[in-house]
Amino acid sequence: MDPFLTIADAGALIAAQKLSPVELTQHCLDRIKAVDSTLHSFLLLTEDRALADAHAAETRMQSAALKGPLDGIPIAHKDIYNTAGIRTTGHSRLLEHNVPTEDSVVVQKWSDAGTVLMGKLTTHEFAIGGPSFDLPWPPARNPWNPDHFTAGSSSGTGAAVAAGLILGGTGSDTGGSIRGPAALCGIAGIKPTYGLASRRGVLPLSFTLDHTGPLAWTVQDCALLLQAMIGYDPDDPAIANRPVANLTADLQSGAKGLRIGVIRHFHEVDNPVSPATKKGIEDALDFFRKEGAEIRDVTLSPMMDYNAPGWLILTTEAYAVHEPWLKERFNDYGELMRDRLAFGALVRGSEYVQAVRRRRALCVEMRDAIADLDVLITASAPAEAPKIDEVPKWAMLEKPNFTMPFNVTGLPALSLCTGYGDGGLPVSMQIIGKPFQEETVFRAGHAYETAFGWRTKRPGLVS
Amino acid sequence: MSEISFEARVKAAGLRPNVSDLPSLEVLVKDLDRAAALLRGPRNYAEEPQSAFRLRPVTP
Amino acid sequence: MALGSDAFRTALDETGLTLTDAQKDALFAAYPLFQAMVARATAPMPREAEPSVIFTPEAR
Repeated sequence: MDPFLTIADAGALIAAQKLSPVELTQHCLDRIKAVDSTLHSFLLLTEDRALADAHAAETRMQSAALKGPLDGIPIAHKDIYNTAGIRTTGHSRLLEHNVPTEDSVVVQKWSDAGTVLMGKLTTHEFAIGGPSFDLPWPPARNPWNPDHFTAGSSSGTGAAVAAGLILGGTGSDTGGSIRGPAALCGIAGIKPTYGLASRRGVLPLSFTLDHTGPLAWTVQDCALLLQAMIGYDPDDPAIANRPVANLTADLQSGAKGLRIGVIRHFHEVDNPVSPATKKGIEDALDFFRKEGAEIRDVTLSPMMDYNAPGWLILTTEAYAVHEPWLKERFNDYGELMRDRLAFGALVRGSEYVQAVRRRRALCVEMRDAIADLDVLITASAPAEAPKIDEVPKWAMLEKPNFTMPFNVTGLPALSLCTGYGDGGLPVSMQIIGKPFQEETVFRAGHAYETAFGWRTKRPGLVS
Repeated sequence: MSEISFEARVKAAGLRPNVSDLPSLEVLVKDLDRAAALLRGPRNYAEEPQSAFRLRPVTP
Repeated sequence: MALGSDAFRTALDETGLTLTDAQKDALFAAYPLFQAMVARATAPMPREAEPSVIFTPEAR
């Protein structure tokens, strides 16, 4: 068996009855036991459940009754996704012993698709407080160099996918928490359009900025995972009532004819990126150009103009969610989370409304900028992963991040690997699409990814 | 936590009312504080607000 | 409007959060960054500018 299979490859082999889901699951379990004491990507390994799921998938395989391309695929969930009967902690002392009675909508959907549940994954505390060393469990570490940060908050998912411990996993993205780990761990991750995938049963951080989405080794795998996440949920107030699209419909369409806008000032002026990051983006643009895409630069408001209302909204909404606990148990939170949210207590009602008004203006600006284009491109992260103990506490206030603009405007945004920079650490770019046009984002990402050889290389820790 | 004087609260809010308006302002703020306390709970942390952020799809 | 040290601590006390003096000091050190963010996010908008979250009365 290939030691590192993608979901697409494993699914095809299982469908052809050439790969045992039990063997695949055991392979992942063995790898988890070998390396996760270094990576800390799992908070809880559900070995018995995983093998039971794998055996059930194997029975379906032998009966030619597989449920679809995810049947028998080992996955895991960020530990803010409620899992019935399985501890869901938010990586926090406050929910250390919390066991939900119901699955979140996405957990149920992936279970219905036949996935194999390997366990619950490390996250920043309640999806914002990290990397923290004062919580009941340690933070996840980057498989490319365990002294380095994974980014967050879907830190465990990023690490586990990059190390091949799972083939895919769930994340959430409120200001970049899927795309950040995807960028620093050298994998693919998509924040879909706001309202595409249900958030019900996921511990909330900021209601109007929270998105659920997948992380996986490849763009194609992200498309397969997201396909199994989407659909109308009448009990999620933010959900869009739309027919379920075929997200892989355009995957093989190539880059010819794509109209690409480059938000160059984001990554060259507003927050200049590392040389390797810039080279990755420029090489990608050269590739798209040669394939017949039309490319031009796009100018938006400065990136901090997007970040500021985003963080104000996030901080305020998150404070409202956590207010009772913060008042009763302030010191039970980790320092990063409680301090970041304490500022939310100082935001006035009028300031929140102003930020929300500004948000509408930014949505209009972004909509107009992408109107005659198919996708936008910029960086996902400014540079290679920093050391885990050198992550500034107030990084989000000091410099604008590349991901928040697309939480503020709700557009679908994909991060994918564009090579390796200093110390062999991954670099990345971000492809952004129009609302509910994830197919085009996947099309562009898949065209790039299949042309470049980055997906053949895995971290030295596991290869 | 020691009691915060109303004057200190007004100053912290950046307000500069006329001195003669302070007593009636203090009464108003006490009412608002009571109303705010009622709003604060208990409430399930997953309870969504009424207003939602929604995107409209863009016609290709 | 940016708060001075005393007013900032009063504002924190008013929130009902129980913080030590050291915790308040740590937050005050980061307050300029926070205040700059607030100022940028709340720059004046036209009077008729609508917010992005919409109240839609609907039955679910």
